[in-house]
Amino acid sequence: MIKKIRASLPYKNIVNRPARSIALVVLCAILTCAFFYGTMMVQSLNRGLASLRNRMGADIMVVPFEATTKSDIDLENIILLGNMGYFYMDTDTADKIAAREGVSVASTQYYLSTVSSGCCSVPVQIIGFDPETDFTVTPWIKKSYGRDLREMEVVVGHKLNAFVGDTLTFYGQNVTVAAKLEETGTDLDTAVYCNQLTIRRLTQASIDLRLNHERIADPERVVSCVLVNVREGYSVDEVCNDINIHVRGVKAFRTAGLMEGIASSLRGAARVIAIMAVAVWLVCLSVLVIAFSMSVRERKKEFALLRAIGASQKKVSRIILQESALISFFGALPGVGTGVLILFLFAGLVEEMLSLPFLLPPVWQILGMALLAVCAGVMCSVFAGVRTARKTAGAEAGESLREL
Amino acid sequence: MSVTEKKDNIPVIHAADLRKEYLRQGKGTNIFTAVDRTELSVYAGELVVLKGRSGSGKTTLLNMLAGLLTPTDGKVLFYEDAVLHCGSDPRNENGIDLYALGDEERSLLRGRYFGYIPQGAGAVGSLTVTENVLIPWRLSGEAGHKSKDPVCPEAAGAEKEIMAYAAELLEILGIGHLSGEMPRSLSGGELRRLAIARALVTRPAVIFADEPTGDLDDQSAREVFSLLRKKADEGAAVLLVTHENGAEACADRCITRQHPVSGA
Repeated sequence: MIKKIRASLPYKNIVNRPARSIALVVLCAILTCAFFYGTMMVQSLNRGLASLRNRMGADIMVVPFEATTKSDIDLENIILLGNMGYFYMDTDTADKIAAREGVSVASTQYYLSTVSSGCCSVPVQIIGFDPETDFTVTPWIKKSYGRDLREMEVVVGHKLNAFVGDTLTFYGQNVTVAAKLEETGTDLDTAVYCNQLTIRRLTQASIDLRLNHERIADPERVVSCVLVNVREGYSVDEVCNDINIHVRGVKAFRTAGLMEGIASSLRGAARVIAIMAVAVWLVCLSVLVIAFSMSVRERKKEFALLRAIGASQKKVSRIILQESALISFFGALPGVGTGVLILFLFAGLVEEMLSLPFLLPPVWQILGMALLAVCAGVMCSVFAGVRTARKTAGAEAGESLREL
Repeated sequence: MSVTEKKDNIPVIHAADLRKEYLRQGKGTNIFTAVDRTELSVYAGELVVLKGRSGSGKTTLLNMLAGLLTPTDGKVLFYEDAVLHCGSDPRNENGIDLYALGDEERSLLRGRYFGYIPQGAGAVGSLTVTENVLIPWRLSGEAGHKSKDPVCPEAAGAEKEIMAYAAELLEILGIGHLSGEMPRSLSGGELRRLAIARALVTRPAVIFADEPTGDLDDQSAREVFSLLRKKADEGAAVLLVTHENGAEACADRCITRQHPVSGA
């Protein structure tokens, strides 16, 4: 097969005109790279959002009212993206919320940020949950761990530099890493999860070391937020309003609304990336059409000559299209390769710059998209050559020979 | 104008009432008749020289006869007994009407039976001299195999023989030492000789030569004329368009074309 290609006229046309071929190959590489990288970026952002939605799970989130008014608390990012920060309210308030009409399940969560001083292995956000009522964290912890967490056992986010069996120290207390979670594409990948018993011991330790910014009399009597699922037949808006009206000192949010800001930023970023990729793609395709057309026009006499000595219109068309397919194939491979390289090398940087959930698709999906990008690149180039091929092959050889 | 001369044998190629009009765009639209109502037959074993002033329609007539330019009116008939087995057979008792054939069939016929030497130097730049010479053979072989034509000429098995013949032609034309060179390193005269070798390599039944000695010195031109004469003596029908005065010496017939007609 390779021998046959190497002996073919399209292949020889490519290798014997190196400058023209290299220019076309580079164009095809840019076209394919833009297609592949743009698609991967948009997919990664969409996957980040989907992952966030999956992990959120609850219909309503209730936090202490101060959390919404304090300027040093970025509530949305703490809750959704796992940024560091904490706030507390009484467990009585949580009970009141659970008792409201229309509430199907109410589960408390507890946040604690560790510090970078000697008492802690690493500064992270620790999220404590109640295993008995939790419906948001437990399902994906069980997926990674398979059973409930015991006291002083933690599950760490994907990007935290700790492995199963490691011991971490928070506020002078040792905890054991029981499992590592799958990637979410957010700061939750650097968070630590544990049950309420563990987080209360850690909170007490932070109070004892005078490293907790909040005034907490009894860690057993506080929670950070309550996650609520609404009973069937009740509207999320109604239950949310009911909590806001009847439970004092709290603020209830619809999680869908809470996520809307991030979703909208994600959509915006994805749109900009998609537009940029399409723009690069269109420019490259246009240049490719012109370049192919010029390259074939320059050899119009050659093609007329081939027609004169027995090549049919179909044969001449095939030579032109095979040439453009070969060139685009030679360009698509390094183009996709460069795209993959950029994707993996700069994924962290892009995530940091965008400050949005960014989750790369699994390897098989990336490889599939790479293959698709190569096919798309080849098809685009063949498409770019179709008009030229039709025009060149369709011209009467006698006329073309006279023109030149 | 009729330039047909009857001979005892059947013509290989015949122009029947051939006419070619061009539309000249400019101030107003002019119809320019390059070839008007022309009859011309070329017989097997005959070398016909076509002369005339520039713009008299020699190349247009030659290209129409070679199946490269669709006439406005008239027919080009090709006569060869039991050689072409086309799906749709447009043959009639007067021969195969070239322009009634589809492009594939006409191209196949052209590749197999016609040898064409274009005006000016022409070669495929990415192929060596030998590869260039072998193009018609490869094209006709490919097309013949594809169409499962039982009378396909030189098939893949005959590659050695055709290579030897190509080398022989290049030697005869004095460019044997350039067989491995790329066309860009050849002079105009050498390229012209390459075109001649390419046209002869399939031992065609009809040879169309459009000013084949344009870039050649007198000695080389004489050698080319005698080579074409030799091919005619071997049975080929040769139509030669030229301005060279020495061409008549090797011709069986010489036809001089008159000025074309212009009209609104």
